[in-house]
Amino acid sequence: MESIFFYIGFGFFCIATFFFIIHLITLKNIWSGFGNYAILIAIVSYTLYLIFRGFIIRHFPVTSVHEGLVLLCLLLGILFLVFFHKYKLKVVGVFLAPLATFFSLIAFFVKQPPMPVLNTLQSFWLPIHVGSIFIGNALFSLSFVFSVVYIIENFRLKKKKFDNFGKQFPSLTTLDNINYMCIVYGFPFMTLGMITGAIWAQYAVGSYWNNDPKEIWSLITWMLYAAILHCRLISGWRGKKIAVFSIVAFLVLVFSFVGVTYLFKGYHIFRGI
Amino acid sequence: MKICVLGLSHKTAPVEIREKVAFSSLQKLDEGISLLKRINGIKECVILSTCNRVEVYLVCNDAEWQENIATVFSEYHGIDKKELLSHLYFKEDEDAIRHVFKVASGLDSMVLGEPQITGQLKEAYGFASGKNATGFFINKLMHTAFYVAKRVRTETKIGSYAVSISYVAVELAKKIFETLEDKKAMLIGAGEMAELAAKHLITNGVKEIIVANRTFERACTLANEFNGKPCNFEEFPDKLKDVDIVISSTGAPTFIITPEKVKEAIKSRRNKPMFFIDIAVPRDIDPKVNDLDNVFVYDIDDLQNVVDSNLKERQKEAEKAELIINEELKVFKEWMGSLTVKPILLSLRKYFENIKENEFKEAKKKLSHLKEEDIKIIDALLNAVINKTLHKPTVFLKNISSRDNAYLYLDAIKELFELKGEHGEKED
Repeated sequence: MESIFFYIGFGFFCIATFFFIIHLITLKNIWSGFGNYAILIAIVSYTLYLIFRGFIIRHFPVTSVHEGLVLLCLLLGILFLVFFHKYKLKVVGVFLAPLATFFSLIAFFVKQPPMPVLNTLQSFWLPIHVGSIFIGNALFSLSFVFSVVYIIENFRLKKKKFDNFGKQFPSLTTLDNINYMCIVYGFPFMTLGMITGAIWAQYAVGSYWNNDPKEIWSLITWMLYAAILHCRLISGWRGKKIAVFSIVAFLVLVFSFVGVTYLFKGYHIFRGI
Repeated sequence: MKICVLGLSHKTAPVEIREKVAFSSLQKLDEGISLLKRINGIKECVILSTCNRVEVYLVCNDAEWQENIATVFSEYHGIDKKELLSHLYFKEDEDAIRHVFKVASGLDSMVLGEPQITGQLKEAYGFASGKNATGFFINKLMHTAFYVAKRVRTETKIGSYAVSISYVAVELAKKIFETLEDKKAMLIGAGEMAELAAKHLITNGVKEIIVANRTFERACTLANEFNGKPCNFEEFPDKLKDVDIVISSTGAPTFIITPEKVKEAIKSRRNKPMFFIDIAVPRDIDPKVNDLDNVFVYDIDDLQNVVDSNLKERQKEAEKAELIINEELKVFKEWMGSLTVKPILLSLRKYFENIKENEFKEAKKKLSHLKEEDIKIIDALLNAVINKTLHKPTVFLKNISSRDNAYLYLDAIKELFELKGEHGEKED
């Protein structure tokens, strides 16, 4: 029954993507306005979906990749609203809506019924661990989006190619700054998520580090983002290098999030929770 | 009574003629309007005089208006009439109205779609109406023209493409830096275009400008002009690291800004982006500088390319604007057409007949006991009442139709009965 909310949310992310593409072509603000409402509906649906699932298993409902992705899309939608209304960056939707649609599509393919949480792992650490990890993921997704836009804009300015397409894109400085902000805010959440994960593991499994593939790949990702912050703060990197670095780090993040779950075995593969 | 345009513009007259014919002061404008008002048959007039055009919009009923105005103007400006005539264009009715709409929306301007002309036209109209030179038709014409201009500006993107080198430079700077508020610029060398670009940067928020020149005195004068700081020419490479935007236009035969120098500067400013504008020919800045990260170099050709492609975009938008103009022209012509006697009489008659039809339909329901012949008699009676009622107004309107102020009566009748000038009511 609760699946209906997932399909509604998924549908409205698709519709929002469609609206933002029209916005990009026509440059008419009315379309980004429609997109804004579509995303709003999608957020509400996903929220209801997770609440229903939470009621079914009587726990914070992040027990599968599917639910994780839904939560991620939900957070992306909320971040979109922040950027849309606070920073008036309408163009964010052009990239965020397809990203949320893409993640929703994956969520659709790996959809599974809600599963009860194993007794051993039932703990209040679960929502803190998973929640902060996902807030971090959402911010890093945004950093990825802005990095891609930066690379495109940088290319166009260097090659001196101009057309209507990029008229509403933010300036390079803005893109660079927002990308940096996303990482600066995302990094502590990721760190918090990893620390709480370790504490939780200590309680649940008896050891804070278990050489689990997910743990290893998460640590790699964490180090990559730490390196980005280091390069920016200490070595003064800016612009293209940071953008490329952020894209690479995000791809590794996606791998550690989705890829590891299906390629490797380990207690961290959601289904084991 | 027709709307006419007489004028010359950058398209038909060189600047020597335009400046001779211009009404360059309010006093001259005043005199010009008084001259026009004295000409036989001219009822209303507006003079628009800018550096690119001198035009007169008028309402007159005299066939000789072209000849008369040309004579008066050639005398007033002390210019040979034949010569003047060779540069003038004359337009009447539809052509004239279309022309006014085009001028108002900047479609006839030297820089396609430039917005100042609307304001200039508003001033010209304001001045003329202050001198009681405008009336019924010109008022409507001007207000429609401003409405058209507004529609063109909001419904097309004609104004959203920068079409001057210095403005393109500012737009690019904003594309890189977002805002120029806290930015520093450096002007190396001098030259009209470089100074113009510097001025544009300042009006867009650049706070500080460093001026480097081979002659220090020149640097000082320019720095004074821009409220900036002068700097010895030899010292400018050291100051590169302090500035975000560099405008270079020296007469140097070789590159004066090399990748090595910029690399150093960008390193010591911790990769904060830099924007180089190279206006010099031969170029001052090695194009390889553009390959460095966070550095953007635009030379004069690059900027010109942007200008050209933006002009092409404006051209496309101008085509859309023409459609808007055609639309409004149609509406305006319908309004003009509705102000002649025949359509007004027709719609007036239709108005009464509609009332009769509606009322009679209601009454007939209650009169079902009457025979068909009786109904016919009542119908004829009602028609006779309408005919008798309309007889005197019809005769009156036909009599005044040749008068100059006929439109006043016609317009009053339109307002009184809320008659609308629709297609069906127009003269065939």
